[in-house]
Amino acid sequence: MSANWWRFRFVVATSLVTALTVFNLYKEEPLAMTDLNVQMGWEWRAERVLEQRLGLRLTQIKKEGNGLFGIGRSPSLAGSLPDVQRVQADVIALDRLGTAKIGTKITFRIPKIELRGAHEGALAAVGIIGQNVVCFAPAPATVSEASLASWISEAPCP
Amino acid sequence: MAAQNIVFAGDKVALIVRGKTSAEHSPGKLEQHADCVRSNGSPVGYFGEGGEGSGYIIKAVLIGIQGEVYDLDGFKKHRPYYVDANMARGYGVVSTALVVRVSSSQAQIFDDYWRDLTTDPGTFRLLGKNCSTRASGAFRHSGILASGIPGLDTPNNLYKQLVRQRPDLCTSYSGYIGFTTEGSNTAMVIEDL
Repeated sequence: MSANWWRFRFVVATSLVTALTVFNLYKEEPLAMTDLNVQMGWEWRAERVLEQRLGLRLTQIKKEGNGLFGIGRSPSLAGSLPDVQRVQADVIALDRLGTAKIGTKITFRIPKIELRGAHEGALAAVGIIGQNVVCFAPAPATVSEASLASWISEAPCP
Repeated sequence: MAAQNIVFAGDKVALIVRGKTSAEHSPGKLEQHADCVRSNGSPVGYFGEGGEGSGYIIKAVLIGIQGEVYDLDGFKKHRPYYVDANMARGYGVVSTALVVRVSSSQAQIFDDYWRDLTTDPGTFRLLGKNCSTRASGAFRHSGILASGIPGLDTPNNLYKQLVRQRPDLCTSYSGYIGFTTEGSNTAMVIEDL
C-alpha cells in the first residue's frame, strides 16, 4: 500500500478524533462555577435543616442527556436521577445569607416529577443544603415577584 | 392497596433487584440495580460516585470510580423511592426482592461484609465491580453461594443464580418496596402493583 494512502488514513483519523473531542466539549457545557452562576446538584431533604431558602424565576428547563451510549442513566451511578432536568433560574429572593445571592443565577439538576408541572418563566421556591437543592415548590398564582420573599419561608419543602 | 410486611429478626437477608417487575421479568442492563437487606431489616446498597461528561462515563465503565455504600439515611437523601413504598409508586419504581432464610452465623457474616464495605467502599466499576458484584460478595462470604455470578455481573443474573442454586431458601416478592419499623425490628413493606 502506498505511503499516500497511509497518510490519508492518518489525516482522516486525526480529524475525526479532533472533531469528536470538540463536539463533546461543546455539548457538555463545562461545570465552572462563577460568582454569577452557581452550579448545584440535587438531593432529597431527608428531614434535615435547610441552610437557605431561595425565591427563583425559572429561565430555562432542559431535559438532560443520558451520557455516552446512555450509560449515565444506570441507576447504580449516584448522580443518576429519574427523568432528570437541568434548570437555570435567577435568584430574586432569599431568607438568609448563604450559598446563593440575589442577582445571581443558579443551575441545578432535578427529577422531572419534583418540578410539579413548573414551566419556564414561573416563580418557585427551593431549599438549599450544602451544594444541593433539596426541595422545590412552584409559587401559587397569587404570589408575585414582590411577594416572593415573604412566601418562600412558608413554601412547602418536604 | 394490599401490602405485605416481612419482618427481619436475624433469620433472613434479601437481595432486591430494582427495575425487575416480577420473578420472570428480565430488565435491561441499564434499568436494573441491586441492593441488599441486612438481617436486622436495614437496606444497604453499593453505588458509584456521581459525575458528568464522557470522561466520567468511560472511567465508570472501564477504569473505576469511587464506590459509595448507602444505608437508610443515604437512601433517604439519594434514592428515597428505594426505601419508601409511596414514593416508589409515585416514581414508578417496581422492585423484586428475594428473601433468603439464613442461620444466625450466616446472618452475622452477611452483615459484617456490608459493615466492612461501608468502612472501605473501594472502587466501583460498571463492568465487574458494580452493585451486583458487591451483593454477590455478601452472599458468597456468608456461605449462601459458593461461586461468583455466572456470566455478566448483573443484579438479575445474581437473582437467577440464587433461585437456581438455593431454591430451598428463597422466596420472591414483587411490588413497590419500602421499609418500616415493627416493634424493635425493621420490616420490608411490599405494596402490590
